[in-house]
Amino acid sequence: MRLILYVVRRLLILVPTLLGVTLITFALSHAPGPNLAIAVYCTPRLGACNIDNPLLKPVVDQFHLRDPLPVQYIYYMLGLLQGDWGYTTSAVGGGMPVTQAITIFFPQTIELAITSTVLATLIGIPTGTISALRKDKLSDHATRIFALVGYSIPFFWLGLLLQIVAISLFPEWEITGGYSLTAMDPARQPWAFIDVGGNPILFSQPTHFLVLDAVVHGSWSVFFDALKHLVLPTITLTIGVLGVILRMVRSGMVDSMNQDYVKTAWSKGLPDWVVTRIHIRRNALLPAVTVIGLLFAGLLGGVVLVEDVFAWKGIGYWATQAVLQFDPGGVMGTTLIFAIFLVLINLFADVMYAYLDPRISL
Amino acid sequence: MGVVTVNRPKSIWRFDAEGWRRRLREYRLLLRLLMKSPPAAVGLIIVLGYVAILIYDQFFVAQNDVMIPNFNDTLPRAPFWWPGGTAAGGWFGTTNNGIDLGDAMLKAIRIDLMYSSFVVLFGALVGCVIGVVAGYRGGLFDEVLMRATDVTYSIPFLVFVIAAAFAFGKRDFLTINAILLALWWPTYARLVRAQTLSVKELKFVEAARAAGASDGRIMLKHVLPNTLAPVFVQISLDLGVVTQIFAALNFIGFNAGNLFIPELGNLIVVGDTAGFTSFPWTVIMPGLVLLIFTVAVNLFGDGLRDVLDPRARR
Repeated sequence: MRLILYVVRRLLILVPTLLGVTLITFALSHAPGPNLAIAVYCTPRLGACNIDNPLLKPVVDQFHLRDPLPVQYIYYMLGLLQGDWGYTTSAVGGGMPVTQAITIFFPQTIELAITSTVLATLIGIPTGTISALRKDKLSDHATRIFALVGYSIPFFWLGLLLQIVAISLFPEWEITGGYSLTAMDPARQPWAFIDVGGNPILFSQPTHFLVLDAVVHGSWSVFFDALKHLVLPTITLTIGVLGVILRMVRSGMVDSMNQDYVKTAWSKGLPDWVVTRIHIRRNALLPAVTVIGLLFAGLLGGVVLVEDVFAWKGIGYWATQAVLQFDPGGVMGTTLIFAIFLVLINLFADVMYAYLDPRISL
Repeated sequence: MGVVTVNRPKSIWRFDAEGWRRRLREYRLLLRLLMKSPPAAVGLIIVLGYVAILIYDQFFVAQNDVMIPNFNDTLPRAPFWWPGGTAAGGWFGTTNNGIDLGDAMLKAIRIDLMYSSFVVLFGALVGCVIGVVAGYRGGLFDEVLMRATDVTYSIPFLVFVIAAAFAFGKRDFLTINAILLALWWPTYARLVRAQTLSVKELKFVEAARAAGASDGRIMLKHVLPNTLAPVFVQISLDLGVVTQIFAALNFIGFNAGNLFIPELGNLIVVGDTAGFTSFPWTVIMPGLVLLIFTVAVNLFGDGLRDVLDPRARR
């Protein structure tokens, strides 16, 4: 019951945060002034490019450009709530509505984020445990150096390095772009593509994760091709995330190893694995949960770079392309979706922490 | 009746020689403790090496804000120790357009370090002032501040910078730095606010208030100095982060459209355009310079954290 109340309270705190985020995206999209919206429709034949031009009246009316900014913000919010997020004009978006582009690009980003987080956790927790138990031994030093380099290394540079290595080892591999056209064909794999304005864009059914969908449809050439493309971006992100996780687990373990109850457990003669797993690690992993939010913030930032390096068609790639090709809808949509995602992850981390640690006052 | 003497608080701005001498002693102790841990010492030495390069560049290198191409010899040459390298490549090789990598990286270190330390130091300054006031005064200002930092934390940093740069419609260094600065102070504000909340309950603050010190004086002279230890650690760790973000932004195309600006991320782009599979050193070298700096900064920051933690001083 108290947990439910806590969740409700946290959800209420979310409202001002998300309002602030929309305020920022609104401010960003209106910072260049009303002329930006008009400029899109303006040609020299129409005459002067300002809101007094009678030929531009439909545009001015549609975007409420004559209203004061607070009123415009209310229209903007109403649009957002009704699912009208505008249109993306960059080449990757292909003139789609922003909400549709999100459903297409977001699964790709999630795929990268999930695989690398899972992989990093699976490697990080056991390795961190061993490293802490063998404090100041050679393996501990090796792990610490790896973690240090892992969280210091620039994502984009690591991605390029891995490409250099992969290309020199397997010259026939095509490693960027998410999938290769030789394995994929809109005619042969109709489930993997969606038709947007005559262009086939990758949007696989039913899970939207190409690797899983290939298994569902039993086309193994696509499966191996997708897996091959997934390897390098995942390794790049994993190394960065792994550094943070290793460090967190190790320092948490070392801290809780010095606690009195651990000494008691040892002196009671409990078996090693009971003490390390139940007494030390359970308590060491608790604070780690709170850092998930921060970790994801870093991960999503890294995703932008990794997607750029590997031409992986996700939200991050769309965001950079949107900026470079002057696509306001794309920039606002990606910013908003990143923010909503991160806020929800933070909420989840807080609730998990409250659930796991009975001492915390809700 | 005896004469009651009141110790009037002296002006905030008076030069306090005894205080500075005490502080200097403290710093010397810190340095000695820091040098006792080999990783921190190595980190400090490397960081100082980078700073030395910055100073050397600033005062002794001509044309230190532009990479000098050699259009007679545009194909990248390998460094002489590279397999297949020749003496013409020099120590670091050359990159696309015949730019000498050693020279370019030397200039790039200056630009990267200068801009990122500008962002971090000013961010820390602004954040400290706002954080101390928010923590000490509390109330509405504090609440608004916390909600505002919540908002900045809820957008991934890189995405935020990209969106803001889009809104300003400019991608030059000044705009990027202004945006980074606007997004960087909340970290420090939160840090200092949290410290202030615990420090302001301590006895010496109460004593200062009882002696009639003004709020401004208490904040500046009694609370702020006692909140600075984690700020220093954060500054040293952030230097690496901001340098990387700066390079990353340049990498994805935020370089004011000038490919001849010496900047490490930009250098990687230049190497990338030459074809990094044929000329891997053009990408590896600048990244390595960036990596070594970040590792050194992290080593130093971790060491500093250990030293500033009183429990670790034995």
